Amino acid sequence: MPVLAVESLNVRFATQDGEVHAVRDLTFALHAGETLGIVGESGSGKTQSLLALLGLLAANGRVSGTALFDGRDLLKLRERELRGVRGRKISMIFQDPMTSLNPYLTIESQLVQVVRAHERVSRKAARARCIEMLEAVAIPEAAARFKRYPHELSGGMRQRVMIAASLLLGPQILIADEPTTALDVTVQAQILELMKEVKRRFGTAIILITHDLGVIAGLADRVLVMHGGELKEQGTVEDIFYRPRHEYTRALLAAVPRLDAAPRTPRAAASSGATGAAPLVEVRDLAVHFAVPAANGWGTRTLKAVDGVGLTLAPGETLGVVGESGSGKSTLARAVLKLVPVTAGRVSVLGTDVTELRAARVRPLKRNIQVIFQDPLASLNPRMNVGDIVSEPLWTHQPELSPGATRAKVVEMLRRVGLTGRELNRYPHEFSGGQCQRIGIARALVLEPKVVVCDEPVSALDVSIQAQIVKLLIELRAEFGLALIFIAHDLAVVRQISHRVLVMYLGRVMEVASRDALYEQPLHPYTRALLSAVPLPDPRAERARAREILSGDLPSPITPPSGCRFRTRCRYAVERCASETPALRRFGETLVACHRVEELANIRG
Amino acid sequence: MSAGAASVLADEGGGRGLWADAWRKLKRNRAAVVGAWIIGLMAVLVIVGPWFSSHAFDFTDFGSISLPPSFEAGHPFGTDTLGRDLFVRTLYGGRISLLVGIVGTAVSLVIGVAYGAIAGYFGGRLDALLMRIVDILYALPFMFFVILLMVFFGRNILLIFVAIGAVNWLDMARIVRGQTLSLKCREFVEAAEAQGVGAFAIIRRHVVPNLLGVVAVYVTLMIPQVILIESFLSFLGLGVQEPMTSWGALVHDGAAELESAPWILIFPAAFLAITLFCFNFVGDGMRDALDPKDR
Repeated sequence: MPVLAVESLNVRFATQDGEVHAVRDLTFALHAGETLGIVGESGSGKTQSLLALLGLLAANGRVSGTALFDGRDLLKLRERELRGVRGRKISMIFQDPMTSLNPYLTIESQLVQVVRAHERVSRKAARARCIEMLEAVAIPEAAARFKRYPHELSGGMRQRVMIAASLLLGPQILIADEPTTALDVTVQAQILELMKEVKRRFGTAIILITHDLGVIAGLADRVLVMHGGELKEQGTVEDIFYRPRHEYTRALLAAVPRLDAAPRTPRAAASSGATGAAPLVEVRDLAVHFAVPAANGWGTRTLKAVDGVGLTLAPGETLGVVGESGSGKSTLARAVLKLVPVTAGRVSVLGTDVTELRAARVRPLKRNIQVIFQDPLASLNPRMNVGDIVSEPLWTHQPELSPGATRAKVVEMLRRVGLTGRELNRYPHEFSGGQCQRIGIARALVLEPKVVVCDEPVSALDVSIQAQIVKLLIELRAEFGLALIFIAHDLAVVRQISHRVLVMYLGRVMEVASRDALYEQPLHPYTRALLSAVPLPDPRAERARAREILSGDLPSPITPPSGCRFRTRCRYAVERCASETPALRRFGETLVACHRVEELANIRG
Repeated sequence: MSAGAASVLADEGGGRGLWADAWRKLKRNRAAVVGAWIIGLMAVLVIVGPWFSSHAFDFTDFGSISLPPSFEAGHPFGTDTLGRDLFVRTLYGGRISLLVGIVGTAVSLVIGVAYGAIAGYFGGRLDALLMRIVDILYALPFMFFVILLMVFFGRNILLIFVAIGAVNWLDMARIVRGQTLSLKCREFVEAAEAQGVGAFAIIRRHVVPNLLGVVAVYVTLMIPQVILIESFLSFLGLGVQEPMTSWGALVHDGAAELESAPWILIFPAAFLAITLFCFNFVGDGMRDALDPKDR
């Protein structure tokens, strides 16, 4: 008998534009001890259906159907009865743990409160139970961390606290809504391991909502695939991944970039960039430091966002830049674009040293180096229509063009990026994320630049849209002969598009290698760990592989470790790593910054 | 979270601008709509009304001093202590009060937006310098400033505009600067910088248009505030010069005759209060309509 049986669940929202049917006739069952994955893109109704079960819908939402849990229909319970269910019998963890923790209360008072709200136990007993639970979710020095405030913990630690809080009352069902989406890939790997452990140890039934098929492949027993508010397919994880029946599931699986498979673009294309032509962009020993207020309120500290980084970009080449958040990859991009002041080192664009040029002198150069941003909607001015947005670079750099000629160019460019060219008078918020990103690409390419810096251009998009945008960028790169600096934290996407890849950690370069060398034989321990942390969208491979899971979090870039910055999390670290900073040096075809690369090359991770 | 998902779905319905959206929400706010109508009627009344009255605003008739309101006598609001028709005087006072409100606000709008946007966008030392100037001007006591102007230049209606404009733009500049600081970090401004767009073009195309929502709200709340300041000055005898008048001056005169001839106070005070109420309703309505969180 299932723990939870949902039958023909419907969720509707009354909005200004009429009724939105967010979830249609959803029927599923959750069995004891099982992990049920729900996958779907944004707007598929995966979150709304579960919020509806717990009576947490927005005020304009209406629910119908039945949801049998514990012999009662959740949808018919009154608010007071539901409160007894929520947290106690069904608990939930969310994407961003910071929003679910009260910033003004210590971890202790929040957790103890959870216990004492539902059970009559003494404060002391409750506290003991909380510490025990924090230890169970592998929080080091749990008793000390217990007294801290949420902001004093890292994102990974906060998510552990949330998991501990949700398990405190021994719930029958744990609902995890995108539990690792806000986390870095190495921390995600830690949390996924923890969830496997939780499942083994407590036998809680888990509903795992995510857009990441890799996460599903590693954790779920059964999978529901949702799209547009409807259940498209359900089956065991093996059925879904190896024998998908529904068209949408197949399309979704095809769209996921594979870290473990070489992309179809031929190797020849990869080497085309490595010709002897003068580099378009050259960065040497770049340092970008920011002054941040010190924690004690007196004076400032130096945050070394980028500290001694070099790169070259040849014409027609795509250089991928990867690293976790805080690695300095976006700051590097901004320094290349001269959007942040450079502390030390040199930046040359198209043979001109721009390091000390005044802003007015750099401006004409920007015609040849343009940028595509991460958040497609935020990077478009909400008060400007699409025609003006795409025209603006032309107004700036080609003011001699007549309005008619400008318009013709804009329309042509909009068509080229897959829009119709009739969008000129519409505003950004009328478009979907993918369409907005196409507008952003049109804006970057309308001047036909030589270099485009792409700062996480697809990470805010759904998987299927991601695939379309990457395909578009590859097409445009060939058509316009573009050189790209492609920054991303998603290593699989970088593999699809890059010729060479640069790996950053805490403001320094760890490894630079050609794409195939990097993915097939990573040399630096950090690169290995990074690749090993990415979950594969393939259940058998994902469950079979041995992982190198990094412990701990990224150290603060204000007080980076001495010597090799990665040493605090590196399992191969020796004394020399703390005393001596490894230089970036050639090993085979690769540049790598590690003292022990010769030894490690023989240990196949 | 749920609201976000719902609005993503709603957005696919497409086809409406931010202003159109705000306008629709404003129209649904009954208090704001009624307020706007009354303000409109009031404006028409004070401009057109005096033309249809047989009395001049400054004609003193010692035969009809402090007459109570009566239509037969041709004085619907009665007369004041000098026998002047209170109806015409209230309308003339309204002209001055509304004019001061609108012109005073417009002056502070133009100066404040330009000043605040430049300080906020350029930042650094220029920002520090410009904002210290604002701090110094803030520290000047307002009444002292007005009295000083009166002493040097004599009593003049223009001085009221100058004094009010000189004080109110400071608030506007601070608000605009704050908004600009947060806009400066938005990706679309960074995108424009990356494209090589010049600083003033960025302020004009990217910063100011995105400030207008906040500014529009602030303006509708500033107009009644300015009217009130003028009334206060006139009440203290520092405002408009006799025989010209304003609502504030009329209330001042009326307050003296409260016991013997209450209508001299009641009518101008009612006009003033109703106008202020209406502006506040419209301002509140605009704030709600332009609040992006309430979509």
